[in-house]
Amino acid sequence: MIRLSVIISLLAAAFWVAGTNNPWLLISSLPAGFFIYLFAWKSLAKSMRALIPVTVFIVLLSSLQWLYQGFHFEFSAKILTVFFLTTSSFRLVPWDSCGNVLHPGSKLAVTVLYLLFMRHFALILAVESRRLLTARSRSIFKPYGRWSFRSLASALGSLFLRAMNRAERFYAAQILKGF
Amino acid sequence: MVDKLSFGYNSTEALLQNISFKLAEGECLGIVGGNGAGKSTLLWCLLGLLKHSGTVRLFGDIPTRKTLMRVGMVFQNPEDQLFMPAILDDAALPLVNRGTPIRQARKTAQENFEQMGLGKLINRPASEISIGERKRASIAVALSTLPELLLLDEPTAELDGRAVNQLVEALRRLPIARIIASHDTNFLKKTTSRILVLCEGRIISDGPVSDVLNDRALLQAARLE
Repeated sequence: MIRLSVIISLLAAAFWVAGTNNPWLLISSLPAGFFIYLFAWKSLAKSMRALIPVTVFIVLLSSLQWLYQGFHFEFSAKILTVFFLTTSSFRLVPWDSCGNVLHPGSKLAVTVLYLLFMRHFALILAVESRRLLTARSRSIFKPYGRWSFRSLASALGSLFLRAMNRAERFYAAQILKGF
Repeated sequence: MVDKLSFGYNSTEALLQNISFKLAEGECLGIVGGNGAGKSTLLWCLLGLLKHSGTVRLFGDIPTRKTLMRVGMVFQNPEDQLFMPAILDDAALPLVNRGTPIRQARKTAQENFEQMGLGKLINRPASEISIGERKRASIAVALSTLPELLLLDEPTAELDGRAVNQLVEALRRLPIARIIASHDTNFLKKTTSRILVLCEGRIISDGPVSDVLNDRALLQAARLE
């Protein structure tokens, strides 16, 4: 019950952060979110690794904003804080006991199943992307350069197609399960 | 019943052309063909998941969500079917969706897993069991709703000899109609009574397993030898 309250509070805080435009509140919630994030991961190395994609996204977004002379610190702070809070709540979910909420017609069960499904899909995509990037790193000569970036773009494109393919099969499997 | 089924991802190139066959109650049909012959695509068309021309009737009706509830499918990759934190819940889920209370659903699911020799692994997630066990688990999941028709897509892919033998035994015990798409002719010899040979999207032979799989010229034409 306590855990559920913490998860709901974190999600509510994430919604609140997404909606606010007060820079001081955003500045103060960013480190708070970061500490909660570190606590939820319990491993500094893993938490930092998980932060890489969102950091790349923010840097890219900020560069585009800067190029068009419209850099907004609030937007980046919001993305990071929402990421910290939602990831922490996701990690606090007791996934192993989720099966206990399966009751015919239960609304909670539908929500939990949806979350489980998303988690499963995310894990599969993570494994696939790791495989793909390892295969790419074995086949390129230089980490940078025209061919390297071209192969990275192809790898990401093929990951997208694979994700579509897998999603199609998951959908079929769920229909056959009676959804 | 399948009548004049044709399918192509684009209008110029047909992957399946004029496929027609009937399946009797309790019959086990093998669909054999080389890579890219259209075996998996045919199974997807049978489930109504790909838009095709021609007619497909399952239990006398066109495939709808209601008729699909009477069909079990074992996907080539078991990860597509198993996503719960325990494989027991993966098999209980289709029963819960049909209104069975969770305790009873888990009991039925457990019986299925025990039949497949997976009784000790029911509380583990799919990621923590071997690929052979995952395959058998996905069959247990497909069987949990007592389907009247079972479709299996490349069931022996990635399985070692022992796991294949366990799968053969499990399939032989089933009294329901089965369609097995595979390029493993040895496996089909042991599990099916009738074989349909697909080559470049067409049926080039349909007959008893002993006749079809002993015809070397036919197997060579189907790129199986």
